[in-house]
Amino acid sequence: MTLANDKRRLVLENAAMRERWGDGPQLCQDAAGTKLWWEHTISVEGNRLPIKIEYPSSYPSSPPDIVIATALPRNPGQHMLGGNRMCWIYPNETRRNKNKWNPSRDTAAMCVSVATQWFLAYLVWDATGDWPVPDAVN
Amino acid sequence: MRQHNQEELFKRTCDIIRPGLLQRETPLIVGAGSGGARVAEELVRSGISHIILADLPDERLLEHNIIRHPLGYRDLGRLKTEAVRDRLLDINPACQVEIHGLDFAEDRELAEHLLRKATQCHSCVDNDKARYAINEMIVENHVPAFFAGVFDGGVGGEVIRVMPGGPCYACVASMLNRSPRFEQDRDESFDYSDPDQDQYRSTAALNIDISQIALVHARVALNTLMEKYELEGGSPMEGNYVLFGNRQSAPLFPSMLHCETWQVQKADDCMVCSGLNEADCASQADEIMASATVR
Ligand SMILES: [Zn+2]
Repeated sequence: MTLANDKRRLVLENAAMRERWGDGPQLCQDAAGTKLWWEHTISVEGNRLPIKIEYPSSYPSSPPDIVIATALPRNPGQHMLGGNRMCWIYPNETRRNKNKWNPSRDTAAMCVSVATQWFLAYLVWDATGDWPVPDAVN
Repeated sequence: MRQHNQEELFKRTCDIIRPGLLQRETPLIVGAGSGGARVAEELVRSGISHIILADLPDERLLEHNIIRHPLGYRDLGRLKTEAVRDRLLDINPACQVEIHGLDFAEDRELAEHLLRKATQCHSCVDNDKARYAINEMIVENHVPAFFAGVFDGGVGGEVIRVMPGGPCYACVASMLNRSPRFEQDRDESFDYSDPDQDQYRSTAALNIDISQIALVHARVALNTLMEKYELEGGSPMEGNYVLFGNRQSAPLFPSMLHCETWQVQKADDCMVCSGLNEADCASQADEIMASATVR
């Protein structure tokens, strides 16, 4: 089942996104109406970063992908994964960790905060050469 | 094959569970690794006579699996599902074992088909993506389920029981992630390293550590059946979460073999098991889809 068919989850996702980020993020679908994603532009201290928050076919068992929808001035190496995805998923799942994705409460709305933090880290790294490791949001 | 005699086979256990009593039960075991294989074996030894066993397609027994798996060198390189099936048939030749190669998170159609036939579901997988996929589908299909996990280093583990209408695995995981009991296990930092490299790495643990948790898992499942069939000795389980310490590891496990059972409540706003029902949101969902930009 894709999110487009999961009416219950779709309503919850949309409500969470609107409640937190208003009309900023734009919901998009492919022509077949099977793939869904949000388009949004992150803004940090006057710098702008367009992103896409894509729902994978296994959503919400796996978290959304946050895709950087522009060419960055510098390649952030390991902090960007294949397909221009931001790296943000906590990798060590054998530990209890509050930063881990949980489909009972997390939605794509959280990804906007995650992307903002990532962009901030990118800007600090661009200026200082150090990638800061702040706490995850949510 | 040697002749077998069911009565003789269950001679020493029939006073506790009469053979044939559990014949309507069909547990679906997801994962034929060190945990799943043991849970399957315990269920068969307890009188379960029909099992569905699923593991990832082409998941084979490798040499490094052997030291923590009931199977050995004679099954090296075989599909785990096939080899575990043969092992179960070696214990009870009358048992029916259905096997499938299945990625539960990706192949929803087959997963749902198997769940419709199952009376219990056992999550014996090693990653959250699969656990959450199982959780979603057992909630949707109202199938009782058991989730087990072994903690890093094998110091202990947990078993979560999800009954239809009750708190789901995601509710329980969400509560546990916030529990101060697990504080020392937390790494508060936001990790930007590659999530793919480590995501499915196996937990470091001894065979005895995994077996112990698998036995707790099988016991919780069996007890649930004993409750269902009102068997003597099937005392109601007071809770839905069992925390079991193999070794002392303060503050989580003050001593070896430390065991606690908790009742974790349903999260009112759990997006998996609470709130809206599908029919109520159909028109709203259609509106959302109609307003989505087509690219
Ligand atoms: Zn829930």
